[in-house]
Amino acid sequence: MRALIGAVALASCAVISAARLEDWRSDQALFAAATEVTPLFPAAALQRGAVALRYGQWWDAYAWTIRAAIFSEPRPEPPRYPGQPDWHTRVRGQLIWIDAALPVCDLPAARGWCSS
Amino acid sequence: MATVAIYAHSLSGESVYEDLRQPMTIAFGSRWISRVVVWLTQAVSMAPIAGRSVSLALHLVNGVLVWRLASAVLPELAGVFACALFLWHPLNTEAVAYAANQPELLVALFTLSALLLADRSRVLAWLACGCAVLAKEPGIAAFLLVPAWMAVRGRWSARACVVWIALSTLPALACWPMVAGHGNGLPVLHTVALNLSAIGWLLTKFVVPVGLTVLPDWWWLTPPAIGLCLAGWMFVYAIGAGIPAVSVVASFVLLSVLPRLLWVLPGGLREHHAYLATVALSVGAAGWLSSTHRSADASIRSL
Repeated sequence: MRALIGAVALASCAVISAARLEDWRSDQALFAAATEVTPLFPAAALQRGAVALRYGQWWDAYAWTIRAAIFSEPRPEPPRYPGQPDWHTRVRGQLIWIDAALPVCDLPAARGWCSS
Repeated sequence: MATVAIYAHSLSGESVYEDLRQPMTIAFGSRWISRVVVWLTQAVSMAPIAGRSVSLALHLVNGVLVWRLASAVLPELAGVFACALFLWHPLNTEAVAYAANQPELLVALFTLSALLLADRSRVLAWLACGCAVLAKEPGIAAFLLVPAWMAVRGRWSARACVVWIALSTLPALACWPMVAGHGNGLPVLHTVALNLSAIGWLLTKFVVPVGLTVLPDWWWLTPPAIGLCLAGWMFVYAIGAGIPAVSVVASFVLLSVLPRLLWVLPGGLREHHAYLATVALSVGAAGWLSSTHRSADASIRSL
């Protein structure tokens, strides 16, 4: 019985790992087509940049924020909930907030977002 | 071959996430050995596939070391199972598919080498532990895992363990700035409880590997949730009161992540941070399946 459990566990691990690494491959394609990135990634990157900033990880905050700005460039407006500000306003608000501690708005990738 | 087949999909393609700034990640702190590996890899090729292939090779070597380690305490077939579980487990995919996580693989390589070398030479084992620290700072856990491993198997006396740990003070002090420089404004006990809960949650993915993500969201780790997670750890040790092998595996898991309990990371803990801990879990699972935990329990009780 335990041998059967072991065999099933190993087979499950192999299948789930292969599926997860297939997702990884999709992420690679996603990064290659950065201008078509889904709205989720910039949000996660901005969130991570904000958390890094809170903990004083300056270079980490910097890297994630810039990445968010770059990947947020030409893209369609994502769906939003009632009362939620539009995507551009949200990215701009976060960038300006982070710019108070880091000069991110001086960077070419973020300049358009901060000034508009 | 099966491991290579599983990972084949992740080898090609563009760099993703932190691989985009891999040199910066590697350059952090005193990760000299990790830097050398990156330099050597990039001297051969700058393509993302080069770094990922090195990671996969390190993972395969670690699998062989897990097999050797498990075979020291379990039947041969159980050792093979532990090796396969470690190599194929989804929780380890982030550590391997991400070239930026090579330091974690190197820490495991040197820690496993130290555990195997401790039977032959304490000097070589100590040097291997030092290499683990030079791969990544949390490698300092190797200095604790070696005496624990030798004491559990009855190979070292309490005096030998104390002398070893005393000799490990210097590298531990060298790693201290890593911990001290990453305050989050929370009391130390809160930080430890937070990280202990996060690690506990990550390790539940070893049993139920669903919801894996490169960017775990820890917003839900409020004080009540932390309390529940800590209760989970107590429950594991309560089981361990009846089955000592469970306590031993849990203790090895805790020792392997001990430096992480004090280290505050901006994005919180991530799956690759549990890579070394999955060694103990793989061997523990193999022990349970081979029904040798009863004999292991008897040995532990006799110590």
